[in-house]
Amino acid sequence: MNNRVFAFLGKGGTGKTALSTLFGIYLINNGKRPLFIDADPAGGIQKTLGLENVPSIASARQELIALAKKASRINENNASDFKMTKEDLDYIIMNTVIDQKDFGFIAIGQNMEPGCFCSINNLLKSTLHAILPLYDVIIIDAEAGLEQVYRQVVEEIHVALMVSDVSKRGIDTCVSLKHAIEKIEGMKTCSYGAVINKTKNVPELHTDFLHSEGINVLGTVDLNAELADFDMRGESLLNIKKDNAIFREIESFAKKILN
Amino acid sequence: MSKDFPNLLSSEIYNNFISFAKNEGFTQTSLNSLPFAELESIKQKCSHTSDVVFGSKVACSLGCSPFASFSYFFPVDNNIEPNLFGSVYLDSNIFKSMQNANGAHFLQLAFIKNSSDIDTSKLLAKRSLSGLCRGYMAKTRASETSVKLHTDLLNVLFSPLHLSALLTEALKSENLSVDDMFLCIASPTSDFLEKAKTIFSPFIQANEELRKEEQKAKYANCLRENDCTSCDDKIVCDEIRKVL
Repeated sequence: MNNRVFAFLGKGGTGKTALSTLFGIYLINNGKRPLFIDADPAGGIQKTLGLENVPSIASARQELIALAKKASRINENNASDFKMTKEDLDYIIMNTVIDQKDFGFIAIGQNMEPGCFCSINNLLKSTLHAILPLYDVIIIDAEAGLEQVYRQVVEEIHVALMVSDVSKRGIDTCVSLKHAIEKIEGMKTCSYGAVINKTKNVPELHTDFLHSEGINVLGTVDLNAELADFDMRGESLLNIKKDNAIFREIESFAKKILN
Repeated sequence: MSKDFPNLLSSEIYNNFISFAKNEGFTQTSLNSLPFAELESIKQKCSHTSDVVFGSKVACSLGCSPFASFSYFFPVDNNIEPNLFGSVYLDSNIFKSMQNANGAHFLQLAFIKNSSDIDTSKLLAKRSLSGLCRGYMAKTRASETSVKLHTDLLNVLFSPLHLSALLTEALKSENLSVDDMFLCIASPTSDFLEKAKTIFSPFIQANEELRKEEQKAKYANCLRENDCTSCDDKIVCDEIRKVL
């Protein structure tokens, strides 16, 4: 896979969704075409991108299972009343990829149907894997954990970006997550970095601790009135003005990981 | 699969196919064919198609049917990595897919012209155009209008004019000019299909082998560790495998 994969991780409420969205918007503003992967079952990025009611990989899986069950049902003449076609599969799977002019979007969703269904999982995975190389950058908002993403879409993370506020709990979570990722069998991760959100200054205590755990602090993002206003109104962050100070902060850490 | 696939489709196969299609006298229709009455003038416009086909600013896609949203992009320039989109579905069944509800064969080639060099992201942006229906289906499938359109297209016929109409709609939705794309559509004879099958056979064979390998090797999500024989969900998986 030639494109670069960035996963945003961290304790809940630290601003992963907003930062991953803004990072993607920064890339769009600079001529790149990112693919956003929303691994939040509640749908975080889809809201910050202003998308509504998008189908997810989980819902596609559900739909495929229902379709296959329908096709496997035998009537009294020992035949099936319904035949599944390639076009059915094609439509269901590709319907999960929201392909906009400037970016792509996939929601992982939450698997509701228990069971193995390995052929369906592999079908989804291989098809989605085929489209990943077609985007410049993959951005994952990893609310649900990287393992789920790994099993369903990507096999390699170039940069795991830990997002934290200045709280000790937030910082500790960054380290715990790094250890958790390292334990995922087969997952390749090239580097780890941290962005400290909602502040201008990072206590040396935190910087040193993170550094000792192999996580470099790449930058900070201060509280931003316009972002808060957008969040309050639920407006798409795509509409934030390009000259907003937050994009300069995004740029300062983006340059470190994009080069 | 995606890493191996580009090597399977040589420029030789592609070039053979294109020259073959030309020699077979494809009816060429551009989007400027609309309104339909102006077909003749469009043919004239499309006579330039061959002049612009070869070069890095042009890509070509082969669509299986207007209802298969997957299409395969052939980069005209070898320096461009092929778009692998939908490659999993392009196999020997492609020739079955090219029949409409009345049993008539059709083949669609869309040549996309771009103002700058085409790269994979641009191909992706335009895939719904040359694949014809992905965007169309995804956005309108649930509406009454689309159901009617589907019914019309499936049950009546696929004609160049129908396809042109769809393409025009797709172009509009992408804010592209009709001059950005030329569409070549043929109603090939069975003899043509046989010959085309021969040309594509190495590609088809390799693709099928890849798929089989993939089916065997990639059971990463299998909770039964590759042993499906006693799995409760086998019947569902078997249906999917049947279609693939």
